Amino acid sequence: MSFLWPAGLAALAAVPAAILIALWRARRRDIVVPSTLLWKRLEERIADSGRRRRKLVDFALAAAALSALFLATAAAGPLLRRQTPQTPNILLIVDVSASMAIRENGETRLHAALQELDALLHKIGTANLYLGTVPADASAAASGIYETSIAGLQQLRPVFRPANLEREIARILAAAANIRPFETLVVTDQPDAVPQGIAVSGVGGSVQNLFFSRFGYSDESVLFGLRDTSGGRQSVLQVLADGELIRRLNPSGDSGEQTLVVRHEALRDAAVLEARIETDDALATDNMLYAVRQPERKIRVLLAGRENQFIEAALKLHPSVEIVRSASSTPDGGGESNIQQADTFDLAIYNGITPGEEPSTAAPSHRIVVIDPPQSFEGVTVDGNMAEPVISSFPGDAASFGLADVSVKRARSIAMQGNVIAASGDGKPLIVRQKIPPNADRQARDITVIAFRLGRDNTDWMLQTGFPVFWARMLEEIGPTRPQGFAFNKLGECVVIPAGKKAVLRRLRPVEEYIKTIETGEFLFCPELPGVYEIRTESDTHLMAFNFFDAEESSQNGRKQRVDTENFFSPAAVIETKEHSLLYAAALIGLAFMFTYWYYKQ
Amino acid sequence: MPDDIFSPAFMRKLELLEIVFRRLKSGRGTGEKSGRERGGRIEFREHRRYTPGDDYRMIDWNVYGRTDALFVKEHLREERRTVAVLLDCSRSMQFGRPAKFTRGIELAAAFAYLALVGGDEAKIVAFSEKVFTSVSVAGTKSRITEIFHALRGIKPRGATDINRALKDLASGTRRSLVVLVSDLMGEDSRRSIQLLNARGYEPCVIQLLSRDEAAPRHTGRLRLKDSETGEVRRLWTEGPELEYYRVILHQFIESWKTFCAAHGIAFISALTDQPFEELVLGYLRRGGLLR
Repeated sequence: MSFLWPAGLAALAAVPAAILIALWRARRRDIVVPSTLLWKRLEERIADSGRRRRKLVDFALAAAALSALFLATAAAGPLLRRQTPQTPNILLIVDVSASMAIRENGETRLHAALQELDALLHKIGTANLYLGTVPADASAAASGIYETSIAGLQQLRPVFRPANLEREIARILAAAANIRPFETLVVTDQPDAVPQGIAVSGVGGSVQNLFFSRFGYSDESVLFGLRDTSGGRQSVLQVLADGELIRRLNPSGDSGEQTLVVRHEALRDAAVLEARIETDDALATDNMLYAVRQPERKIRVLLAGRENQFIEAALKLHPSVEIVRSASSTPDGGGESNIQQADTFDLAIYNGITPGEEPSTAAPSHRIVVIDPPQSFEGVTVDGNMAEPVISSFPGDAASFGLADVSVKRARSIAMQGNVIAASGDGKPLIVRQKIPPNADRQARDITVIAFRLGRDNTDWMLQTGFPVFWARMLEEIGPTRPQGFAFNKLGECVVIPAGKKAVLRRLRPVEEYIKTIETGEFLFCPELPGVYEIRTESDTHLMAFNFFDAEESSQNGRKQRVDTENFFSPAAVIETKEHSLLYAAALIGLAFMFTYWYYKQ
Repeated sequence: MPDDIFSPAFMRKLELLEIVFRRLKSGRGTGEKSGRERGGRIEFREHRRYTPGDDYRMIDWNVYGRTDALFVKEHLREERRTVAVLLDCSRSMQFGRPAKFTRGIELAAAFAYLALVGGDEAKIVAFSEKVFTSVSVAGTKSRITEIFHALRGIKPRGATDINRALKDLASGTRRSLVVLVSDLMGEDSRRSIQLLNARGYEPCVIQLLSRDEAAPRHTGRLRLKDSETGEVRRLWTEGPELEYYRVILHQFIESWKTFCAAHGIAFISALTDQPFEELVLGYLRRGGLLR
C-alpha cells in the first residue's frame, strides 16, 4: 500500500488521543454530596440504563478510535495495488449425448455434471463463457461454438443422437483455435475421448441400466436379448404389435449377463412391433425397441405378347399382383406399346414373343419370364417341338414349383445356359432360369424361359388346377424380394432414401410428428431419436425402425475425473491502482455515530 | 446590634411583621394575670357593674366618684407564648452558596426577633444527632443580642436526627410554635412531627435546599459520598439521569407538602440562593408563617 500524502499519517496520533479523551471522560470522580438519600433512589431506578450506557460508551469509544484511524488513513490518500486477473475466455464442450441422460442417484449425469460445472464456474468468478455441445446443437453457428452464460448452461438437455465424441471435440477445438485462445473445459462421462491436456469434469459411478442387446425374428419366433449392467432385477417385458399388447413377460437374469427371451409369435400381419422393458432404470430411452414389417407391396407384372386369359386369371388370384397389360399384347402380337419409360415392373411376362419384340424402348424389368419363345430369341436356341412331354424331373430346389408328372401337349426344344428348373422325362429342359450379371450396357437380368404354352388347351387338368399355386411359387422364386421378419436399424446409422418421387417423412412411434418433406433426389436420413419412421409417397409407404443400442457404453463409464480448479487457469494479471474511498465513508459513519451519541447524551 | 446577621434596615422591616399563630391564641383574664403562665401583657377591655363575689380590688373608684355606682374594670391579659426555632446544624447544612446553615441561622434570628417584638419568648434549639445548644430569651427586643451571640457560637457537626430533636423539644418546652429549619435529608421525621402536632404544639417546616441539590450538574462516572454518613453511591449520570433526579426531588418535596397540608402544618421549601429579604418578606408571608 502506498499513499498520496504520507504526511497525513501524522493524523494517526488522533487515535490514541481519542482513546485517552474517552477514557478521561469515563473516569470515576469522587463527589461529596449533602446526602445520598435521593441519589440512592435514582440509583435503584437507573440500574439497567447504566449497563446500557456502559456498552454504548464502549461502542462510542471504539467508533471514535476507528473513525480517527480511518480519517487519518484517508487523509494520507491510500493507494491499493492489486493483481487483477483478466477475464478468462472459457470454452465449455459439453457432452449431451444419450449416455448423459443416464440417471445416477436420482439425477441424470448431465444434470450432475452441470451442477459441478456451475460450482466450478462460480468458483472461477467472472468469465466469458462459450459453449459447444456434442452432438452439435443444430442451432449453433458453423463453428459449433456460441456464447453462453451459467444460466444458459442449465437449459442443456440430452440429445439422443449418437456422436463420435472424440472427433466432434476435435472439430470444436479446431474451430475454436481460429477464434481466440480459450481455456477449454470438457464435460463428459467419457474421459478417454478427451484429448490430452484438457481438463475433464466427468461424472459416473455405478451405472444401472437394463437395455435390449439383441433382437431377431425368424421362423415365427421373436428373440429379445436383455442385458442388465448392475444386477438382476425385476422387470416387465411387454410386446405390442401395432399398438396392441400381445405378450407380457417377466424376464430376469444375472448381472452383466445377457438374458435371451424367445417367444413363438405369428406376427405375419403386424406392421410395427414394439417392445418395452418396464423397470427402475437409469436410461429410459433404451428400454424401447421397435421393428417393422413392411406392408405387403404390390407386385407389378407386365403381360406382353399374346393375350392369355388363362395366365391372367391365375395371376389375379394372387392378392399382391397388379397386372398391366401391354397394348401390344394382342391376340396376334405386334402394335404399339403403351409402356412408358418411367414405368417399372417387378416381373415381365412375354407370351409367345421375346423382350426385343416389345415395342417399348425401355427395359420394363430385369425379371423376365418368356413363355413359348419364338425362334428369334437372343441367347436361346429353339429347335423343333416336343409332343406331349411329361415334366418329371426337378433338379435342385425347383421342387417348389410342384409340377411333377404334369404333362403338356406340346413344347419347344430349347437350349440355353442356366439352371434347369423343369425337364421332360427324357431330360430335355422345359423350364430354364438364367441369371445374367450386369455389364456396362445393361443391368442384371433374370430370365426364365418356359418352353411350352400355358393355356387351357395345352395343359392337363393337374396343371390347370394348380396353376395359381404354380404362379404363386413362381413369383416367390423369381419375383421381387419380400421383407423377411422384422427389420430395424441401429440409431446412428443413416439410411439412403433413393431418388424418386416426392415423399413425406414422419415419425410414428413413440409419438407422431412430421419430420420433413423430401423432394426428388437422394436423401440421407439420420434420425436423432429412436422410433418408427415412415416415408410415404403417393404410391408407396415405407417404414423404418431405429433403436438405441448404444447403452452398452453405460457400463464402461464409471471413472470420474475432477478439475484441478486451483491450477486450472494461469491468466495474465494486471496491476490495478485504486484510491480507497471506503475509508472516508467509514470515518464519516463513525463520526456520525459519535455526534448522534453526543446529541442524545445531552 | 450586630451587623453580621441583620442590617438595621432589615430589622426595621421585620418589626412591621408578626408571627402567625394558628392555634396558640392569647389567654383571657379579668384585671389580673390569670393562669399559671407568667408574663404577657394586660390590656383594659371594659367596665361592668359590680356583682357580689367580684374582687373588690377591681372596683374602679374613680367611676364610683362620678356615678355613685360600683363598676369593676375588666382586663384582657395576653399570655406569653414561645417561638421555638429547631435549627438543623448537621454537616449537610454547610452545603450551598450561601450555605443552608447560614440561611438557617438568619431564619432563626429573624423568628427570634419577631417573637421578642411580639412579646413572646424566643427559643433557639440547635441540633444534629442531638440537641447541643438551646437558648431561650424573653422580654424586650433588645435582648435579641443574646440570641445573636448564641447563634454565632453554633457550628455544623454530625448527622441529622430530627426525631430525637423533636422528642427533646417536646419534653422540655411547653406548647409552642415550633419552626423546624432543615434540609430534611435524613431519616423520615414526619411521624414525630405528626405526634408533636397532636400534642398541641404548632409545628411548621422550612426546608432549605442548595442550588446544587435542587439541580445537580455532575455528569459522568461518579462516586457520591454522603457528607453525614459517609455512605458511597456509584452512579453514571448524564442528562437523562439528572432530569430523573429532579423528578425524584420534586416527588420528595411534594410528599412533604401533602403531609403538612393534611395535618394543618405550614410547609415552605426554599433555595438558599434566594435573597433573604425576599425569603422572609415574601416567601414566608405567602406561606402563612408571617403577616
